[in-house]
Amino acid sequence: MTQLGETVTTTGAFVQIRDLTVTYPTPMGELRAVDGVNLDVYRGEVLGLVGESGCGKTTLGLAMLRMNSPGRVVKGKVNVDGVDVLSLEGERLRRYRWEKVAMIFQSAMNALDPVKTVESQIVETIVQHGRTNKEKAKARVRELLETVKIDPLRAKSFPHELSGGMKQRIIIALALCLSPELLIADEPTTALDVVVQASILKTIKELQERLKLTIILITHDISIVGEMSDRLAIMYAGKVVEVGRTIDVVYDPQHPYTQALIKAIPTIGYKNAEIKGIPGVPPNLLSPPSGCRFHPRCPFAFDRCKTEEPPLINNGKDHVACWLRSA
Amino acid sequence: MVNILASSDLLPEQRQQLMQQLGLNQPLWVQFVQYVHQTLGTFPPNFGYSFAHYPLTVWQLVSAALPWTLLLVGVSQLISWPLGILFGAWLGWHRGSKVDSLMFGISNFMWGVPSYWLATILIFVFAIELKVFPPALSSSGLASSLSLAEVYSILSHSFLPILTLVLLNLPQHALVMRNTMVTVLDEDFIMAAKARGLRSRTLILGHAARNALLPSVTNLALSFGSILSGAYLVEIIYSYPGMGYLIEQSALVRDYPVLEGVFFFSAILVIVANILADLAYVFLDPRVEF
Amino acid sequence: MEIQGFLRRRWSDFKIITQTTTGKVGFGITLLLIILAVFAPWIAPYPPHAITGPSYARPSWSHLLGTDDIGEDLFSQLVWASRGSLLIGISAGLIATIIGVGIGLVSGYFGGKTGEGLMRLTDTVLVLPLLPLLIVIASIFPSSVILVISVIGLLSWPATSRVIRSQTLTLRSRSFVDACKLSGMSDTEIMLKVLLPNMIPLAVLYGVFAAVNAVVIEAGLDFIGLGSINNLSWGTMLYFALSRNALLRGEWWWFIPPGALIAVLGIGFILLGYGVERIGRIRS
Repeated sequence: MTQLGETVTTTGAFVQIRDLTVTYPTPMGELRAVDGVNLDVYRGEVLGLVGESGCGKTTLGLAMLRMNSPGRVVKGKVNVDGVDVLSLEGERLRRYRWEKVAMIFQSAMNALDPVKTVESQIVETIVQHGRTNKEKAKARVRELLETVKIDPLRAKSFPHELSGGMKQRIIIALALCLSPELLIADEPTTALDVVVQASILKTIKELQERLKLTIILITHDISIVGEMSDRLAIMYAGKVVEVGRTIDVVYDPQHPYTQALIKAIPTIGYKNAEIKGIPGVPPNLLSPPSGCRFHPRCPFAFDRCKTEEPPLINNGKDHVACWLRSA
Repeated sequence: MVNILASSDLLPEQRQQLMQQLGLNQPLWVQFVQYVHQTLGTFPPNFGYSFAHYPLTVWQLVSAALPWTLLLVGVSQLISWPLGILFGAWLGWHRGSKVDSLMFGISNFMWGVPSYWLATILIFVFAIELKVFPPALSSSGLASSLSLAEVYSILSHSFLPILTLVLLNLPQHALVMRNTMVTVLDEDFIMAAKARGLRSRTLILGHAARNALLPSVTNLALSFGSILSGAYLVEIIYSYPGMGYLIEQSALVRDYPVLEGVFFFSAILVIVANILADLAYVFLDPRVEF
Repeated sequence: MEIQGFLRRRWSDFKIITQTTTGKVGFGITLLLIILAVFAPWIAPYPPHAITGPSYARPSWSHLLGTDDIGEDLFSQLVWASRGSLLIGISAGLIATIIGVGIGLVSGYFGGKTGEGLMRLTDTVLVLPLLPLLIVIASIFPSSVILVISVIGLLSWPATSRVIRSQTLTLRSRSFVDACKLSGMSDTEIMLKVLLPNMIPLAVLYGVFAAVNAVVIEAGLDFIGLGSINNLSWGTMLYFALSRNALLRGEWWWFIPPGALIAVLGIGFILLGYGVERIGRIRS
């Protein structure tokens, strides 16, 4: 049994997160959205980051781009391809954003300025990063639109003239315009209907394979992540509770929370399909439960769970944070 | 109407005669139609003769005063609005800073500052104590030659009135813009733009301010009536020969036709300003169709 | 029991208002002005129209702001005039608010033709320039304070009604209004008991702006000599200051304080308005 922190060396992961803690100021105190998270992401893989609302997954994603404000990073290190993200300032930070890492936001529909054309917004991004002049940038825009399967003639449209699915594709095109190496997709399909969802996900998968992107796919919907991701990281109450290959995590979940999540997926076709929710209420991040944060809702909880927090350890199959799985 | 015009010691027959002459004994709606036909049927609109300045017509008086008012309001808004907008955008970006709090206080304060009081103070400081600008009475209203001396006279007489209006309106424009900026800055697309590594200046001006401009334009149109009222009061105290001065002088001598005319054209001015603002809005916001 | 709950909520309202500097200052200033107006007879050293000193006297301990051209004490005038101005502001503001809220609620709640029609009405009134109309009216009818207050109130409600209408539209689309309807509440009941209480902070904020505007415009009317000269307000003081040559004589202690107090009333009311609006934001 080894600790995650010990097994990974500097030659390993593309993205290395160590002991990251991000807090938000609230009228009632500091809320720890992300609390002591360790995570690695390998180059070229799709890592699914799954958890219920409020578990900290979006905060974690935003931290890759240093976009947490009004929250702050109080502890930890984030390394992307050797760059210490948390120490970047000013111009270097500005250039880092979008050139190295790009993001597809939650409710990305509103990520576009309503008074400017789609083309002008992409061109602006390209030009402001000093890539090329306006003319060449416009050509690049046409290229990008074709890549995301949008008619290039739509470049001069305004956001309100496009459908939800089309806007999402534009957002993807925007994300890719500077050819980043890491893409963070935060609930890229939540606001869309199922049919559009499927086609967007297909597009993302194709792009990932073609451009050799590394993707962190953030979602609360395990069914999406099952198909798209190579590895899966489960978050709960600001902590990572399980990490492993998707196949392992989905078919042989180690952590009780993961097990409950998997069980909660309705499957079409089973006769006596019973949807099992997870009992209890989501934890209060201002004063989280002592010991293992999941213990109030865990069917297997015993004494140690209530007092000591289990560390994330490699138990041979994958990495789990649970007293059941460790010595 | 007759009771107002005539003194009460007219004999009943004379009163009858007057009413017949003025067409006042016909049903009300007939009078109204006649009135509209009379006044607006011709161009220039016929509001009749001024009582006090007979034989000048109302139109002659109004058309002489209108350009002065347009000059005053036009120049003062051309200065205060763009500056106010820019300043407001800056304040919105630096929300919460000391300057922002200060300007918030000053802008709200200016709401309660009477224009005529401010004008009085300015006159006192500049015209009387320092003797820099003339205190009152622009060059005679009906002169039209634009010799250099004339232009200089107009400018030096207009300076204080314009300054007064700018001082009053600029903080208000800035405040409105600041508030809309703050709302816009909370929107998703601003955060998305920041994440894209765009420069601050692009964010503030190109995206945030550009969007915040829309409600500000609407607000300008809505508050135009109040801006005009403020301008009129300023004209009065500076004896500046615009519509405000005209209406006050006419009110003092009960020159009813002129009063009607000025009120009518004031309303027209407000309507025109609103239309212009609507057009500007259509131009600025691609979501709105004509 | 109900009264206790009511009082307790008003106390928490008060606390919310005075939590911010804005609220504190606004409340303080307004309170001071109200005290000044109510207790004028005790605060002012002399009756305002009594000749108690030499003409055009400079400020001194016996006459804090000097005297006017016939020897009346200016400080006393200033204090007594607060009654006129405060009365005008509060009553005109109230009229404008009541009409504005009424029209805004009805227009937003019922929507459709009624709503559209009311909006057209609002736009029409909005376009009418207040000061010219007031001047015209003041020259036709004998000067009366009530008339002036009514006209101002009747022309100042559009801003309030627009805002209230959009608030109503937002709230109405929420499901709890449908729930009220299902439980058998009449439209009037819903409007008055459910929607109205939520609007009060916003209505107060806009009402305050209308009130301040009313004070400034009315004083302006007095200033140009068209208001009722008998009703002593800060505007009338400015009128006399200028027509009795205070400006030319450089007697700034005559013409500065009245206007300054109008501005102070303005900022006091407005800051208080922001404080009250905060209640709405915090409660929601």
